[in-house]
Amino acid sequence: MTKSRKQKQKKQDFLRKKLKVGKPKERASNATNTSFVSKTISIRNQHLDHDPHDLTKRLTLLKHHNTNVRKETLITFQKSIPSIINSRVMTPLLTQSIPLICDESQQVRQGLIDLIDEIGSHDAEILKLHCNIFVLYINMAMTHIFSQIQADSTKFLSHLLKYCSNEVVRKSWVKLLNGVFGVLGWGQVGKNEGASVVQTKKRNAKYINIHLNALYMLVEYGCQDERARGVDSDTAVSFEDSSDLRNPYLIPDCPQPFEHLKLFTRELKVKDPAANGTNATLLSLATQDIETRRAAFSEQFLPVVLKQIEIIIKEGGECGKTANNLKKLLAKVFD
Amino acid sequence: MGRRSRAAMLPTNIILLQNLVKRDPESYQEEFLQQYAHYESLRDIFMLNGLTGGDSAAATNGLVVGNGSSTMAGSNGTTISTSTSQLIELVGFVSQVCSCFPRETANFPSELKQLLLEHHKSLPFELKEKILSCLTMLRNKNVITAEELIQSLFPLLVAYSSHGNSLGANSHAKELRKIIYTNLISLLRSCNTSGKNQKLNKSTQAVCFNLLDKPDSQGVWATKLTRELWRRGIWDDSRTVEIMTQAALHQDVKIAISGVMFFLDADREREENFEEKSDDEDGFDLDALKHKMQVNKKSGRRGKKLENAIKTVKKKQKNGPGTPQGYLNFSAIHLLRDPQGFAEKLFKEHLSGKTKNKFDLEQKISLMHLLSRLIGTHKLIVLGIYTFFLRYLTPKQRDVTRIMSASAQACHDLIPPEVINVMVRKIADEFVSDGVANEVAAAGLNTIREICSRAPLAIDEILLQDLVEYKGSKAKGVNMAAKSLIALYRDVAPEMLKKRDRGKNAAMEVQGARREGKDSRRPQFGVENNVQGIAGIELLAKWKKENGDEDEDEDAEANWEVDAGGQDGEVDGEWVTMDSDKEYGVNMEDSDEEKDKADEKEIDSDLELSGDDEDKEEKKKQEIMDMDPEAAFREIASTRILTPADFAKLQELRNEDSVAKIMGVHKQDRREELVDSNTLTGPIRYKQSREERLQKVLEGREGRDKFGSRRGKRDNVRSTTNREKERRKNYVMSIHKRSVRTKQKMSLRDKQVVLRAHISKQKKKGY
Repeated sequence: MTKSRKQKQKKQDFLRKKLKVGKPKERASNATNTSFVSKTISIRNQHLDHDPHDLTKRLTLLKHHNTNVRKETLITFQKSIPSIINSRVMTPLLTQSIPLICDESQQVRQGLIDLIDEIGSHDAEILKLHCNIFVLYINMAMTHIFSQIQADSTKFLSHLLKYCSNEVVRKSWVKLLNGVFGVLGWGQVGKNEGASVVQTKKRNAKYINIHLNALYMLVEYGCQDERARGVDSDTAVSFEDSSDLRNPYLIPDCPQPFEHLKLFTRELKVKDPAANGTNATLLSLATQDIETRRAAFSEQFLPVVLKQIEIIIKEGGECGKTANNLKKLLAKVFD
Repeated sequence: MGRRSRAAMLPTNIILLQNLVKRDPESYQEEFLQQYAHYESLRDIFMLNGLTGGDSAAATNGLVVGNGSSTMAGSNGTTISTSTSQLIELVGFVSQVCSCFPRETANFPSELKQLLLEHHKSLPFELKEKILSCLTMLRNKNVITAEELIQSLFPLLVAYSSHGNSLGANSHAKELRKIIYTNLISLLRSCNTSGKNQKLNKSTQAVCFNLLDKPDSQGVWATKLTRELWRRGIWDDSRTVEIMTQAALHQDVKIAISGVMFFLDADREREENFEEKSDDEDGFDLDALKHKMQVNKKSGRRGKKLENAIKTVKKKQKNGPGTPQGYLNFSAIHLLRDPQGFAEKLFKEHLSGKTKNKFDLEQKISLMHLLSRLIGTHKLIVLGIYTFFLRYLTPKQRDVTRIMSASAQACHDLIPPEVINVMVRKIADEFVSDGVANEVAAAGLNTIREICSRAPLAIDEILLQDLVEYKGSKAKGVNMAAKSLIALYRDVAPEMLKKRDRGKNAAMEVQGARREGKDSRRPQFGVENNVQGIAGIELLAKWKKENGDEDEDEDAEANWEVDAGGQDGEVDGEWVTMDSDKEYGVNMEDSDEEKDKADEKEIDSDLELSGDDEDKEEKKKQEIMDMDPEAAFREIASTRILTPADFAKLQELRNEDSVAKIMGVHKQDRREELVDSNTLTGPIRYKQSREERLQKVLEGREGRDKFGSRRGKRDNVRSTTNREKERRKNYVMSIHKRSVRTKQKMSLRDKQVVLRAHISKQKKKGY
């Protein structure tokens, strides 16, 4: 009677257990379960050095959910471009900021354009290095389902063309033309225009003007040789000739000169390229020289452009003026 | 042409656009093309960035290692980047609507397949999942064929089931396997719902064969798939079984065992599967059968046993030849193409070869069971197995009863008796002696009985007579086992028993045979007796004899009529026009009456049988005993034409017979019967542990609301009464009270007075 149950239990732990076959050892009453269930063990990184001026820490802010943060980060980077232009930060900065072409906020996109301008004014070579990703994202923006992003995509294109026109037109001539046509609503396959394009066209002609400008620049850089463009012709030609003829085995002046051969790119195989029509064959075509570009343009795009330009010229206004310029350019190039 | 006013509906998200495109593909072609281009550019970006390990891959390349690790941790986390989720969304969209634009999206399915097959290691799980579901959807929309889908599913299944394939921590291999597996099953099921799609089945089976050809453990998927499809009745041909034979002979333990378990369990699984699906009409007159069985002797246990037996018979019948079949209802073992070769290989490679040690005991027992079942069912001859069993037949062996049941099943009458004799002798030596526990001896005797019931010549006379001596054992299990052995040999070969064990009938039979100089009925090796003619006809003959000859001729006509009445429900209209309504009705009544009379007679005769005149019964029984199926067939088939009523009766008798067989009355052809290892030891009752006893007590207390304790279950809320308080008061406190103390000091006289007064008071109260 005197001993409580707890005391008895305590005593039990010190009693000698009778062994029995097939009976496992009983657990002590005060045994603690130390097992744990976890798929991964995460160990925090040791941050030994905390550099407040380390800009790499700010790179992740480019993906921040708050619009203002993204915009301000872009502005910070833009301000510090002169100091970091030759550092290692540039590559991650560009790879992380280029996806902002498809950002939903207009301010962020504007900030990105400013940043690109800043970089281009300091060192255009850096932009040329990342030309590929640029074109991919611009293309994506051109087909984006939000019409605002679509409308802004040509701005990026024209700014990019300013700095690395040669690379852009060489690598993705047909692709970009397709994109610009899509933005302008000049459908090639169907007879109908895209619904979103119809709406924006009604609403404001400002965007059309920008698109037409971009197209003008594209055609100018793509189809017109440098002499006609008014570049210092003598030096350019002599330089090109000399480099082509005299030093074919020296280091080329542009990065990845053999990229168009697609030796090291991952790509999905196309089962039957002929089945998809001329556009697909053109897309796979390498447009390295002016002649091919011209041929592709005149074959695929010229009739549509001429037809559409007439309509815009008739409507007049700012757009009409730009369209007229474009018409003149086309007449000059394809006479 | 597209609609004019569609510009009013501006799609701002993919889902809305999908809805619009599906409704009116022509008008929204431009939008679709735009989104398709969007998908293409996203895919290109993904190919450039995503495959090298998240969006920050380029960042890590350019940065110092320390920073790289921190960004890596970010990219490997569970959150998927926005571009991936966009791609997922677009892939879903395109595959939803691509049947509207077959020309533009001709390349889309193959792109998905390539992404999945070639880059599956670097794709995030969500995207893989989406692509899988999209491919299934494309199959449902008939954009790609089932074969194409299977060709892309199988390699993935294989890739994600290997362990050493350097799959990352976030590969979600298990989930993917599950998704792929369920997709495969549902695909094959849907392709086989309306008629079997033989082409697809064959190609899939070919893939399974190829998987099993490889030496690694990938083939386990083939077996898993096959088993599942077998269970659902989708695959039921011999090719399927051939896959499993190949699996069972595989070098890999896991595959081999899954193949073996297929043969052991798959048919039961399938039956259960179909049982759940359909519970329909009972084929025979349940009540009549029950009545008959209970007339013989009444006992609750017997009744329960009967009911169980009926259930199993019903189950057997349902899948038997009588039921309509949607599928081939052969068991896997029956569909084997080369049972002898299979059994020999199985024994040689898995049980007796150099590699025999790779299986543990449990698996070895499964192998033994399969082998013995093969041998028993097809009457194969694998002589090595009997000496193989010798090693395991000792009482100390773990799971020895299961091995014993396997050894019993492996016997049949075409095996040379001297081969089995060794085994029987070993069992007798090891198990049946005075020094062992009761259940051990019982198990030994029961096993020997099972062996002998399959191969009666396996035991020699002296050993049998020795074993039979255990009938006097005090242990019930041993006693019963020995008696069952006697009963068996009374039936099979009474000459082998001692004279006093033969029993009356067998002894008389033997004597009669000796007197007439006939050769005995003793079985001989190599002489088989098969049932020919109509199965169960001897039962009918027996029944005819038992029920006397008197009602044979009279109701012959009635028998035709009865069944005609039963059958012509469908053709009733035609019969009515024959203008023989009146007669027809009279006939019906007559036959009914006669049937009733017949029933009465039947019962009478039964009573008579159980009654006093035993001589008659003896004679009849002996006649019945004599009758073998061939003679019965000759007798009945030559003397009379079997009526539909006869066939009905025959069916009923066969039911009864099979019930009786299950109840342990007859033991005739038992090739495919399994020996239940649990019953070999006979009934054993171990002492219950404290927990078990307590559980039983508590079980008995359940639901005794009226008589159970009412502690803690007061009906209305109240405080405790004074009397209750008084009762509960501490003893030590109350003994010091004066009223209690004075009681002790009371004189004897006073005590007596008080007691008397108390008694009279109680009596007045009525206690």
